[in-house]
Amino acid sequence: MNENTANEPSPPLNYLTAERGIWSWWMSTDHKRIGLMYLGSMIFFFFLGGFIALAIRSQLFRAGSTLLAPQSYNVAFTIHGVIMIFLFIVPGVPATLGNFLLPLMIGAKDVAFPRMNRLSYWIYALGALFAFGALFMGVDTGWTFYAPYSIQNRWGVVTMTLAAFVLGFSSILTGLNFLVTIHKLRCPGMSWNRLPLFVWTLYATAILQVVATPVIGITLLLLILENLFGVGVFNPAMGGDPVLFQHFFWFYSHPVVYIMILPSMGIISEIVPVFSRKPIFGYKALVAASIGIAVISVLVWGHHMFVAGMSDAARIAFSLLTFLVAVPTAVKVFNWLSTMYKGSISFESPMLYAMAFIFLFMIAGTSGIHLATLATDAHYHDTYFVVAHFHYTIQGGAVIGLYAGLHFWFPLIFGRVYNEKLARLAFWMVFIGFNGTFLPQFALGMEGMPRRYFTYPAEFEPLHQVSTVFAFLNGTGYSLVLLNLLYAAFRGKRSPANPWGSLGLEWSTSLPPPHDNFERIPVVEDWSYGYAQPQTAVRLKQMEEASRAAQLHQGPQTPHEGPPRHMQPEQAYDAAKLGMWIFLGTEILLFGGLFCAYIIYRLANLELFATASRHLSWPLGTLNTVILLTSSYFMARAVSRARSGDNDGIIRCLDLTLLCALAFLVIKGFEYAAKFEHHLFPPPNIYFGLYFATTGLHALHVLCGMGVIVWLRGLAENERFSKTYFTPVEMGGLYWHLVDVIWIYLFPLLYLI
Amino acid sequence: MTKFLDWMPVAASDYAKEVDWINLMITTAAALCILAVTAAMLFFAWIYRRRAEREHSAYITHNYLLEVLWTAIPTVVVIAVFYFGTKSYVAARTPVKNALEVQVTGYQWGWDFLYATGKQSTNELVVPVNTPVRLVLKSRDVNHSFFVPALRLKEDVLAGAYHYLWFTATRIGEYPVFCTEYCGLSHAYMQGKLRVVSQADYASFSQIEQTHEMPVSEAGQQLFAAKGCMACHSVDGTPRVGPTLKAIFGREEKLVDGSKIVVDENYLAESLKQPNAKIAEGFAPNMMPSFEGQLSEQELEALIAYLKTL
Repeated sequence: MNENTANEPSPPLNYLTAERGIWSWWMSTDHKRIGLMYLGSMIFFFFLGGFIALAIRSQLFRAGSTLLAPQSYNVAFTIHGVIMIFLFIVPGVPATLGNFLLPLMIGAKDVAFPRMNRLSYWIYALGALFAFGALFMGVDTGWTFYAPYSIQNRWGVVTMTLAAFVLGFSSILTGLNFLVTIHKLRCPGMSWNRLPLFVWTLYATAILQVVATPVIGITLLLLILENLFGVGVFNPAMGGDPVLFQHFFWFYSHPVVYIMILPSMGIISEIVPVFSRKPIFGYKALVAASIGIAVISVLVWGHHMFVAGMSDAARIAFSLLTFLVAVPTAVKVFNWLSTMYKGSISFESPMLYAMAFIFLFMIAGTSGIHLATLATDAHYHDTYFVVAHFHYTIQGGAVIGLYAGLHFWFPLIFGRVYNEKLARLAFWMVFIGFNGTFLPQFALGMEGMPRRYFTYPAEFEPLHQVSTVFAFLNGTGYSLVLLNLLYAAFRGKRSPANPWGSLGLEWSTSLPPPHDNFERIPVVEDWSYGYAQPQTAVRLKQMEEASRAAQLHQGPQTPHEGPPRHMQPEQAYDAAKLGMWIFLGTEILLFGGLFCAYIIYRLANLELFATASRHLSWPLGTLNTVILLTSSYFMARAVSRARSGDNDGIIRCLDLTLLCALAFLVIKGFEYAAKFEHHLFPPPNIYFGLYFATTGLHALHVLCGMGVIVWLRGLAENERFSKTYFTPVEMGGLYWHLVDVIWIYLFPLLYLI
Repeated sequence: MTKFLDWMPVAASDYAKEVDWINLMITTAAALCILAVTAAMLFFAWIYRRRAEREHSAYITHNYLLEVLWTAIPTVVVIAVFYFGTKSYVAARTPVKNALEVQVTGYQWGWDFLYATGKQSTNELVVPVNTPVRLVLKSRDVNHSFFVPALRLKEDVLAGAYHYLWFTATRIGEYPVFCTEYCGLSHAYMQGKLRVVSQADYASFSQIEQTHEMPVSEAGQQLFAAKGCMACHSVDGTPRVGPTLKAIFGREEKLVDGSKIVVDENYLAESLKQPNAKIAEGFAPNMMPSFEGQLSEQELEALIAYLKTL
């Protein structure tokens, strides 16, 4: 840039204008740009999924309709589910508004790992590509992929589940990034009890993402292997148990509902105080409720299987636990209501969406009681009652919450305002259309209409017709929202500073924010809900001034590459360490799923496992164990060399580690070759299915570890490490030790007992 | 009002009426909650609407008493609902002695029913009124689910195991049966019928015309003799190399590992296929040959049917 033309006033730059061109977006590590890219992709999929939903509703307009062929209908509801769940609402609020707002709300310049954040978007794009490919492969299993229907060796299922697997990876990276960001990057004064409630819900969500996603990862991986090689774990013909698939699947897929809904609840907790000009009521209770929901949510997956052959005792236990979720959700509703009490309430579109959320969520929650009750669930299970309940929770809850947030933070994101009248009109179309679509479906469920039927007995027709008509109103409403916001993003009027009079930290920077968010890291002196106090007006005034000042002082900024500039060195070290440990936790959970399957099947087939394990050569296994332990020793040496700044020492130790790893893989290769020779692959029984799945996955980890070592070696050769900076070596070492520890568990399980 | 909240189909059993009552109770309570919250929200929205740009709003951050109350009350309410819902359901799941048994096989895409007399029917289940009926469900291929809206009951029929349903129909008539677990292309066509008839009508229905078709359990008895099972298993209570099979079905068996198991179809099928999986206490392993692959599905069922008569 030309620095000498100081007399020429440069236009105020922000994150949108800091750099131009699609490539600058794709390569950006700016959390705001990544959030927007997520938003764009997700809105695209939301409308694609919605379009398919309208095709489904059109088919159901009449009993015996032939608008869609049966197979096309089955494919359509599968695609609708997969798109809406995996490509739209699972990344959902965290990936879009969460990415955009989290650093702004806690006074940070970016998330802890900006490049990992970009990687998570790239992975999302890759997953979307797979899913898109699978769209044309006629997958008709439903988004739940229940075995054994899903293991009939079809490439469509493999591609689709691979997509979901890849998307899960992206979700884990986002969750991990957020956890570390919230722990390590809060600005001075942003203590835990001042943390905005939206951030608290992102925190609870991130925990769920990190804890539950690895389990679906291993489940989908086993399903893929089942389709490709016949592992047997989910295949009753090989002694596998289709119920185990359901347990694994719902262990993730129930908490995922809360991954979808919790951040939307957080948005409501932000909006209601601003528009009521009152502090949020019961801050601590709301935080406790978010964490409580997250904790209970991993204990209730069994209610998806009340009629799926579980023992009666398990049914009763899961029923009781499920009822308990109702309590924290009820608490949230009461708190929002009390926030409005004695307020000074205005009703711009964000508040309308927030109030709609409360109403719709009441219906979603109370219809959940019908489904938690064993006696009524046996009737409602897998009927339209469930369809209605689910859509009230997810569309009425998560999606309406997302739209509330979009309308609320729109001026911050784009620095412009949308047409409020049009926004309200669109809101009412969405609201009426939504209720008209799904209220009749509760009645249909009571009548006994099963889900996933492309045609139905004639007595269900009137309610289906009502539902279809309103679905089109619902869709038109969403289109109007989109048009209004799209127009405003490019051509809308400039927004004044802090248009809603919010005390949130995010509004104290310019609209839209500069690339680095804040000129200098802010210092927080109070929580962001201090409305209705004498000093409120003064605080708002200061925020407005800060926002205007930020606008004036923006120089040209280019998104950066290389070592983190948004954190202090020791902060960066802490963040890397915490991030690595969380990542190791997800790896343990991933293998945990496999160990779990191993134990279940071993106990069920003691004899088979005992005889089959004799085919493995324990001397080779022992040798490999010794080799891996040695490699761990060299890795530890490498870290200690790094500590003392001995660059050559690092390289030497890494080479030795690499050598051990290579030896391990060669021996493994001989073992595999012997198995192939003895026709033990494809696996003849579950034991060998699990043997190849576990050791194969482990070998893949060894390969990844070797990749990491080669990368570290390259860094060392370029003399990038010093006595004070050797974080990558230490983190790489941790990963390598984990790979070894997993083998320590695999070895006795497979070879010795 | 009731019609607005209650769309349940006609009830064909006393249990169904009980479920309807629980359902109506929950629905009414839910409707009241939704109404109360919505009314409060709209009321606040109206009386605290902003009339002037600068106006007073109260600084209230919490109220512990209120918060404890509205945590405790929903807890009590949901536990009460849990109690009622579980009580009825468990009663309906508890097996009735001497129930009439029907074997149900789900497949892509239909239902086969096999009655104790050897009578068979497809997509139409016929049962006598006021008689406890036990359905033994299994799948020939993928997962299905047997749903009778009029009975307010369903149970998944998952591949690879037996599943059960019990009911006593109290109202003569015809009721739809749906498959409610997605099972592929014609899932939506996997509809059947439940026909509840008088006991006399059932007697004539279940009669089989030809004499050469024997009852299932009788076929099982012949197999039992042909496979030489008596060599090790008595049917009169005397223990031999293997445990006696007298009154085996429904018996609580103590296993060598100390655990207990109630003998059901799954246990019998497993013991036939993998005899060493669960050895009864006092008996040695590796005595009995595996019949895995030796018996067809029909033969297995016939054997189990015979064992139940002992």
